[in-house]
Amino acid sequence: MIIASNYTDLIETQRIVVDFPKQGGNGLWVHGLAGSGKTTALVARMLALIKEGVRPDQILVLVSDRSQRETFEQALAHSTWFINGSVTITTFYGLCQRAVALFWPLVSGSAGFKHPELEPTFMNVESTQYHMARILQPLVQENGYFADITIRRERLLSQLIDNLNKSALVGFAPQEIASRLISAWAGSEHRYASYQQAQDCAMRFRAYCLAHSLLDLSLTTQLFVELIYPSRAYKTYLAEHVRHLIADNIEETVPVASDYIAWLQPLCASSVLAEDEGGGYRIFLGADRQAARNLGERCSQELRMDSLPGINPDILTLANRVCSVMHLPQANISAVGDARRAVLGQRSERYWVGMIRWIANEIAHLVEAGCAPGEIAVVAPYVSEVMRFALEEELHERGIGQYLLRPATPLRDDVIVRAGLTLARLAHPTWASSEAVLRTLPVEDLAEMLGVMLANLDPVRARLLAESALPQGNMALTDLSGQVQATAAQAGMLWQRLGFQLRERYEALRTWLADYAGREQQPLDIFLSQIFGELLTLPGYGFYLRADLAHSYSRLVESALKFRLAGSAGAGSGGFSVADDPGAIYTAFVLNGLASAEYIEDRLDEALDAVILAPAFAYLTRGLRSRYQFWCDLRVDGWWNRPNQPLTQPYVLSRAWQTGRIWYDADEDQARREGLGRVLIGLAARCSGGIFLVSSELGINGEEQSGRLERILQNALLYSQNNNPI
Amino acid sequence: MTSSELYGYQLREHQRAILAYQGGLMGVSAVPGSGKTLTLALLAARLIIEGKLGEEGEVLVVTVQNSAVDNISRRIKAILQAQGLPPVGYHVCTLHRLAADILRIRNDIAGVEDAFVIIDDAERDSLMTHAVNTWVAGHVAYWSSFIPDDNRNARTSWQEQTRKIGLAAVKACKHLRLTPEQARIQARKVGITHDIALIGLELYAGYQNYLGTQNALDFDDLIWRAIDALDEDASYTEGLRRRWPFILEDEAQDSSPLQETILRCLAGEDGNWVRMGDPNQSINATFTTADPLFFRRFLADPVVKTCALPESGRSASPIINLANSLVHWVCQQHPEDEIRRIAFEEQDILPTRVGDPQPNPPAEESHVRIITEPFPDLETLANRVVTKAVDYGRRHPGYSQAILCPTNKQGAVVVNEFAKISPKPPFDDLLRSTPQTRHVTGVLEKVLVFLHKPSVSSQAALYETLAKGGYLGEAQAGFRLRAQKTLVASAPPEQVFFPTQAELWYESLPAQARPLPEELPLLARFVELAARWLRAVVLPADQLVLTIAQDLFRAEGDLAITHVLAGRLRSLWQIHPEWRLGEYAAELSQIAQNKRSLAEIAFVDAGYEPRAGRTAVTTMHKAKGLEWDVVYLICVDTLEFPDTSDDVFRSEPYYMQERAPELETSAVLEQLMSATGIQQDVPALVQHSRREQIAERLRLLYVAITRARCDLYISYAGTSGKRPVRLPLALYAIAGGA
Repeated sequence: MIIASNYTDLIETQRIVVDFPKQGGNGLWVHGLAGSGKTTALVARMLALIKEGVRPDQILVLVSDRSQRETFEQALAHSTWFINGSVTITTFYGLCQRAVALFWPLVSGSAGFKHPELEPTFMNVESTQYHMARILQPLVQENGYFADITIRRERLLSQLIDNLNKSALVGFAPQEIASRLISAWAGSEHRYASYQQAQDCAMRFRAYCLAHSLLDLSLTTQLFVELIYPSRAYKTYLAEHVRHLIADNIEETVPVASDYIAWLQPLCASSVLAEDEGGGYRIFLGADRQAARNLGERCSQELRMDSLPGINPDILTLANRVCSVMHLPQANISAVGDARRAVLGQRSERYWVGMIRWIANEIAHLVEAGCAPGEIAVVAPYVSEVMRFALEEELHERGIGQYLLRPATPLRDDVIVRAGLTLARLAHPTWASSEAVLRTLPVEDLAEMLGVMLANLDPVRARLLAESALPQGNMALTDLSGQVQATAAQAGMLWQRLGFQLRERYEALRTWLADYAGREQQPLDIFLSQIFGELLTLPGYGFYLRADLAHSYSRLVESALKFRLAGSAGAGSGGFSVADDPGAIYTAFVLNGLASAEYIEDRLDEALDAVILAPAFAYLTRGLRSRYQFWCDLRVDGWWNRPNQPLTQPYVLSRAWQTGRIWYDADEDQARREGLGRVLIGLAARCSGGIFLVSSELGINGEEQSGRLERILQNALLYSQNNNPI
Repeated sequence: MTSSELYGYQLREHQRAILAYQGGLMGVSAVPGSGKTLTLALLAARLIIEGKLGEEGEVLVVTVQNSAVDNISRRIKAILQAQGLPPVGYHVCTLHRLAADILRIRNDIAGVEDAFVIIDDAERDSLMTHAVNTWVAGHVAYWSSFIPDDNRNARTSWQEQTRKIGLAAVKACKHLRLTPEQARIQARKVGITHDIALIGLELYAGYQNYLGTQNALDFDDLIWRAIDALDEDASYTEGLRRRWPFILEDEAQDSSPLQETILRCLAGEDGNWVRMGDPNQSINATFTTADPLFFRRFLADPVVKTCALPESGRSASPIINLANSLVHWVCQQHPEDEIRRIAFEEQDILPTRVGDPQPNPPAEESHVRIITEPFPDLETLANRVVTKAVDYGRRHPGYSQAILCPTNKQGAVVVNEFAKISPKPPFDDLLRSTPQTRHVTGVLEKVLVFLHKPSVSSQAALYETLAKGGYLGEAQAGFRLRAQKTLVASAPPEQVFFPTQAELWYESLPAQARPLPEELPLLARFVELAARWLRAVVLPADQLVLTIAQDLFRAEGDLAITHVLAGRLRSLWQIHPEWRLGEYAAELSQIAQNKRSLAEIAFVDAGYEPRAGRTAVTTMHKAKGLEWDVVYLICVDTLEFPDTSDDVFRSEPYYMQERAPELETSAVLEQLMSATGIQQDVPALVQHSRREQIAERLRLLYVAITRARCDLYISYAGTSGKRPVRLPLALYAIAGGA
């Protein structure tokens, strides 16, 4: 976490950023490796602007994601002087959404909406998927769409939506999706039909949105880019509201955002843009490093931050050697270190579990030697549930905590989400007749919910309680107070086994749900919020003093709310029918596994002081740093392969792609190499103490792994030993 | 290469010729037990050590079985490490894994998602059963018209035949890379009107539809899609060629034409591809589209350098002679000309030379006997063989034995005979799965049953399983195990695993009921593991099983079994999202109780090794890759090994005069892509298919014979079911030499 630094604490290059002229329309391009102090400098400049009398609401801070936004927000919150007004700290999409809401009357008429008089409804990912699913269903079933592609429905939905998003974020017409994909396809014409079908789905979806005033990410962005910011009204608005621009991590921004920044800069009194030289990890989300670099090069001044206060030259040298072996560009570092010194430990175990135990032992040694667990990270290309669980248990045995940082968790896979939805099903007995997946409530699901919602209830007692509490015939939990004759004897024995303290908590939960079911039903999000506030945060319940768990729950509430708003917007026509309960539809949608793209971004709670376990991508995009890193599972191909998608292609749909060029495997190979090089340099730049290289010959499933990355690392270390030049 | 040693291994002359390989196409025809694995490992290591792979290239070694993967990997690694090199530069995998890798690396080209599901053969059979049931329900009258009225047995058998028709159609169409729709159009185009073949096409459509709803691929799809991906983008194939500049293929006789196509694509026109195999051991054509013809064609290609590995130290010379006689008789004297040409490559197994590290067992201690007089029935035959094996085992406890039968059903009769003997003699029932597969599955099932419903009885049952199996420390048995089990059952699960007081549950028991000090670590480990798994219960079933396996198993075979089980559970989860642990436990129970097989796990993969003093009971097919000191081949009769194409064939139903539904389906549909018009004379096609079957059965006999090291006994019963049978002609002919 970066909080406000005193000017005197800043290094020379950071002071240049803070002192950069605040008048005259100058632009400064700051670039350097991760850890070179760019964000600290930007935060200091933001505070300096305010301190020097600039109105906070005239400062626009553009960030690439939510966690980065928090960095700036926390700096403001920790500032010691009174700040009158608020700085706009937002992602580019947040900016688009805000502007579309504000300028809706300006665009609704000309954008082709069927009912321009209706208020717009901004959809979240789940509601976008839901509506796309409704469009897709008959096309798949009746018209045989995508018969040649073997893909789960949720993945299909996300790729179709992704295509639309790319068109908006890169800035080409959505009608061009198929032609772009087809023109770059190296294979036979066989695939064309699938691309055309993807195109058809995109256009049907867009027409549907225009008919029902629904705005997904692509339409929102397109409205902003094409209709709002070129307008005189917006320019006038900006003149009053934005005088100083600060943009961090511009290498992660999408092309239309780069266009916007380029357009905005001359209108501002000052602008400072920061670029992480090794970054650009979000290519598959549309990030365009080249567009960002062009932006930087147009600035009136350039500043390279190369003092590298938090960087270990040995580790970066190792990463550079790997890049050298792979014939890739290397990180620009002033001092070359000794790559061999970067590696504090190296191990190739026969078994996967042996690898996990070795990691846990090494971590225990580091902790014994005085390193805080929070300063250690275990990074792998993927983190499966087995890995999370196995390492967590091993570390737990050694008295060390672990914090899992996942980039993406499908809603259904989150136990808190499942538990919340089980509660909702108990409170809404009528749902049981609406959707197949809601018809029965298995005792396992009930036990899981009780284990989450009643604090400190172990799995055995939860199961025992669930067996007695399981509703018979309807969705109401069984009265186990002992006052109902039919269950009195059973209840007496039960509480003797479970402990009588639990009875009170269970009964309070049961009666709360029974009371709720007897009242007029509220929307799902309101129900979830009510029970959270009235019961679940009380002592004895799952969320009492558990902010970490509450985070998942609050995302569920937010997701359900946005889903309801999006659905009810077109009620009776495009949205839900009047008889439908959006809560039931939403719950079934999530439990069927279709709502898989609304990712719950785990936030790192620094107070936990736990070892971080993260996929490399998540680690890099959260701006984390560690003293020690374990690069593990080095034989897994995931280090090497990017996740490909049959119906979309981030490089081909990027702005840099030349129309008519074909994407050959050599392009793919180069993209992979560059991706791997960026990841290793990124990791190296975020590690101050040293790294551990770990692999296992057999994978988690017992299969042999061949380990290309491990071989390259061996070669890189060998070169270092032989003192070969880079 | 002239040295008789390489990296410390003594080489035979023939091996030296192979290890002198520098590049290009090479075919090696190897006999059973000739040391193929070691030769491949040495060759792979040599290519790595001599730096022939470039900076990032790897030797690709492709095998059929996972166990061979492990075996070759370990040997390459040992050689490299002995040379002071890191164990990198090679990729050893099965052909299926290679196909899956090709799909995964560029899943966008292949048109599949990155986490695609592969269904195994058991799941495939189950999907086809669904497809058959659905189709029959919609065509009851037509379907029934093929069989006589009111014959319940025929009806049941016809149902099973229909499933086989469906599978034959799937196999034929996928071999030709035709979707159901394309196959239908093509059938119309080439004028296929054959009634049963057309049913097969409809079943294929139904099956594929079920598969599609699960977004899953079967093994045939894997291969097909991998070729499509390679065909689709030539630059991708080029990239893979750079990655794998040398390909070494083991068991090449078992590669189907499509599998061969993958490797041919990867090797390229002037690529480096070494194929090693034994055309005489090709026994999978019935289940796959493999045919030794393809490998023999490769060996005969003038651009291919051919070598041989003819020496084998496995069997004593009387057994070698018998196997060689069989080959010679078939090639020279079989009554049908086509069989003389297609059944065998006329090559001899040679015994190893004096001084060879693998000398043959002494001939004077070897016994070979072909019992030409039939036993009256299978039960009597089984009884005699089991009695002999048990008696032999008692007298020679240092020998391993096997009773090999043509079918599972006959094996079950043998197992039943063993079960009648008290005390139970040491034997391994390998018919559906290995004891280890059942054991591993049984352990996991016990854990899932407990996790599904923790109770006093399920925790005691779990404790018993884990303590007995040695998973908690030293394996427990007898009185102490019973006492420990009682102890574990003395408190409810919540007190055992999540006690609310500092005192452990057994500390309040009377002194005499408490555990012995040496038992405390066992109990502590049990509580630790079970509590951990209870906490893991929120994981998806497949991940839960993998988590449990990481705690319990070390042997690669056990992990491989778990992997297959996890795959099965994952695919079931996709089909039945409503399933919870109880249903998954029931699924495992079916396998653990030997009621269902676990496909795609070869015995050797599951860690099975013949052991001295024990007798294995299995089929001749499943015995491939294994060897025993003493082998009994039973039911070697004309129904199992027909002499000529006019004989009775097991696969042809008795209630359908002159018809062979499965064979007809294959024979007709294999012509779907025929450019020259199709052969409408179905009986002629069937005759040809029958001859191919005869040839394959003869190779099966050859494989079965060469499983024996010292002693071999061949016998049969005079009737098979109700049909009279006799000893096959080939055995009469060679019996004189035995």
